[in-house]
Amino acid sequence: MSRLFWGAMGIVSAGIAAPIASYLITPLLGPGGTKDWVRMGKVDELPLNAPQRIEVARRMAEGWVTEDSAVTAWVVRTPDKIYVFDPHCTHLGCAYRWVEEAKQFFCPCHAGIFSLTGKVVSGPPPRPLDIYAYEVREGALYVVPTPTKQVV
Amino acid sequence: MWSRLQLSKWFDERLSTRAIRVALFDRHIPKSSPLVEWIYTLGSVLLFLFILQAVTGMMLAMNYVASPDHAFDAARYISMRAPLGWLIRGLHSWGATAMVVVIGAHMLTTFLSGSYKYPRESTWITGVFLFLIVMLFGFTGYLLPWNQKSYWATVVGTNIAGATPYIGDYIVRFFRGGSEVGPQTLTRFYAMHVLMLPAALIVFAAVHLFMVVRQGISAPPKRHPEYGRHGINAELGIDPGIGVGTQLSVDAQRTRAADEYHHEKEAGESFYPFYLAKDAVAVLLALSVVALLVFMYPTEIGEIADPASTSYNPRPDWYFLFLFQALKYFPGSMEAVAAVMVPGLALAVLLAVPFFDRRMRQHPLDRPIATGFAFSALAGVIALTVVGAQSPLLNPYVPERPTVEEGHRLFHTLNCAYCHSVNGRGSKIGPDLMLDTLKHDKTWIIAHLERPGEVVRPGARTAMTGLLPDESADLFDYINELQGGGPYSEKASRLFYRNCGKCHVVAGHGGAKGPDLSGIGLVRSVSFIHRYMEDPKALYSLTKMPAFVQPEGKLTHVEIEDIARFLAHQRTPAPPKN
Repeated sequence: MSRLFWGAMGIVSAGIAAPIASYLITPLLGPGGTKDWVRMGKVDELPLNAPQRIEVARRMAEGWVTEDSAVTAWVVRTPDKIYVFDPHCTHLGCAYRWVEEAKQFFCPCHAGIFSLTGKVVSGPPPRPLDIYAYEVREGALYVVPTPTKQVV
Repeated sequence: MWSRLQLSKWFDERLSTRAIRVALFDRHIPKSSPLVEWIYTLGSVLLFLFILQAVTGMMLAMNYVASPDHAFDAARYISMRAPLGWLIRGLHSWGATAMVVVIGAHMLTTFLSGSYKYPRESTWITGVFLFLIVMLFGFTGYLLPWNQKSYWATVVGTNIAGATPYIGDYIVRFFRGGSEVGPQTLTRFYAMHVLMLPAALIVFAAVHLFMVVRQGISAPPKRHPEYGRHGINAELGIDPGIGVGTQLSVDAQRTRAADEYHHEKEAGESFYPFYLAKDAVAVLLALSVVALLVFMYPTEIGEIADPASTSYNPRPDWYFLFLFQALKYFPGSMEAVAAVMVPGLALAVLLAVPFFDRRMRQHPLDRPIATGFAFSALAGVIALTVVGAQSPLLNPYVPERPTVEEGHRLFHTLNCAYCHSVNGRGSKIGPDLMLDTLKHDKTWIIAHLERPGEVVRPGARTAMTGLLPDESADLFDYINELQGGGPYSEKASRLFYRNCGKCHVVAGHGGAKGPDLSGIGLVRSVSFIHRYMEDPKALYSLTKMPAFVQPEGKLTHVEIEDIARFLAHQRTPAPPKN
C-alpha cells in the first residue's frame, strides 16, 4: 500500500512539475535579441571621432507585448571604421556616457572607463564595449541592435 | 449569552484546545537578564513586520498593474491620490527596510549567543532560508514601482547573477523573462513577489516557529570554558595526542546542557503574559519607528523608468550597497568571484555554521574565533556600506534646468521632429531649432505653440493644440536653450579671449592647452557651460581648469553668462586632425 501511495504521488508530482519546468525554461532557450536591421541615419552626417548617441524607434515583441521601444547606440566614426556600441557598460549593464573633456566613455556605477574605440581604459569592466553589427547601404547606417562581444 | 469560560470549555470538549494553549502560551521561558529578554523579542518583531508587509501589500495590490505602461502611474496614484495611499506605501517600503535590519540583528544575536547549536541546528537553517527569502522579497519588490531607480537596480542586479560561470546567461534570462529588463521581467517579479515568495516564507516561518515552540527558546549563554578545553576526556578516557586537562565528550556536553536547560526552563516565567507583553511593547516600538520614518521620509515616486536614458546614475537600495561597493574592488576577470562566489560562499558558511563547532560552549567569550569572525564580517559590511554611500560619483549626471528637461520631453511626446530638426536630425519642413537662427521672438513662438492655426499658416493643425501655458513655457525654454540661451553682448568675445584664450581655441584663435571650443555649442548647453565655468571640478572631477567666478576667479556671474552664451553659439567644429 505504501508503495502505491508513493508511486501515485510520484506520478502526480512529476505530471505537474514537468510542464511547469518546460513552461519556465523554454523561453530561455530561444535566440535572444532581435535580427531586424534598424536605420540610424546617414553616415556622412556623423562627425569624425566624436561619439554620437543615436536613438531610434524599434518595434519588438516580447512575450505577448509588442512594444515600440527606443534603441540607443553610441556611434563613433573614425577615419577607417565605424563603431556602433551597445549603450551598456560591459561590467554590470549601467548606461555609460561620453565625457567630451576627457575624450572617454565613463560609467557612473563602478568607474569603468572606455576609450573612443571601446577599449577598457580602467575600472572593472571585463571586456571592451559590446558592438552592434552594422552595414552601410547607400550612404545610410543600418544596425542590428543585439549586443555582440567585440573581437580584438 | 455564554461566558468566555463556557465558550472555551465548549471548544475544549471537542478539540482539546487546552493542550494547545498550554503548549503555546503557558510554556516556560528560561530566566535571563532584562537585556537578553528584549533581544528575545526580535523574532516576534519580525513576525509582526511580516504581517504588516502582507496586509499593506494586499492593499497596494488593489491599485497596481504589473505592466510598464501602467506600473509607474499606479505607484504614483497610490502615493498622491489614493486616500492614505502614501501611508500604506510608506509602511510597506519602510517595513521592508525594517525587516532587513531586524532579521540581520536576529541572526547576529542568535549567532553570538550560540543558540544555533544542538538541538536547534535545523531552526537556524530554516532561519537562513528565511533571510534569503526576505532579501529576494526586497529585490523583486524594488522593481515594481517601475521608476529609474528600480529599473536600473534590476538591470545591475540581474547582471550580477549573470557573472555565474557557465549558466550565468540562463539565470539572467530566467529572471528577466527575456534578453532585456522589460514587461516580462515586471510580471515575473510581481508573480514572485506576491505569490511565490509569500508561500515560501509562510512554509519556512511555520516550520521555524514550530521548532522554536517545540524545543523551547534557548537559554541565555553561560560561561563554560571547560567545554572547549582539550585534554583528558572524562567520559571516554584519555584522548591520545592531546595535552592534559578535562574535556567532556560532545555527547556528555549535550546531556549536561539539556539538563541545565531543563532546570532553567522550570525556573522561568510562562510565555503569556510575561514575555508576550514584552513582545507587544517591542512590536509597538517597531511600528512607531517605521511610522516615524514614513512621516519623515515618504517613499519617493521618482521618474518613470527609461531604458534609453544615459542620464541616470544607478545606485541600489542601502542594504545591497555593500555588495555594489565591493564590486568596485574586483577587476573584470574576477567579477564571478566577487558577484557570485563570495556571496555563495557566505551563504554556504551560514548554512554550515551549526556543524563547525559542535561543542556546547555558547557564550561569545568562550568562542573568540566565532565572535571575532561575526564582528569582523559585520564591520566589513558596515564599512563597505558607508564607503559606498559616501563615494562621490566619478561622472555625475548634470541635470539641465527642470523646465528645459520638461520641454525636451514634450518635444518628443508631441513629435515636433515631424516638422523640425535638431542639430540636423529630424524633418526639414520647419527650421532646424539648433542650427537655424530663429526669426521670431518669444511671444510669436508661444503663439505658434498654442495657436498654430493663427500664426504658422491659416488652418494649420498640429498635435500641440491644447498645450497648457506651463507646457508652452517649458517648450520655449528648451528651444531657447537649443538656440544658445539668447543673445550675448559685443564684449563677450573679448572677455572670452582675454580670460579663456590662453588655453582654448575658438574660430582658430587661442591656446592649445585645453580642448578646442569651436563646436562646443553643438554638444553643451549654455547652462552647462555656465555652471562649468563657475565650478569645473563639480562637474568633472579630473579637470585642470580653475573656477572663474568671483571670489576664486575674476569674473562676475553676469560676465560668465555672457561668455557662456557666446560659447553656446560656437557651432562650427574644428576639422579633425589626422
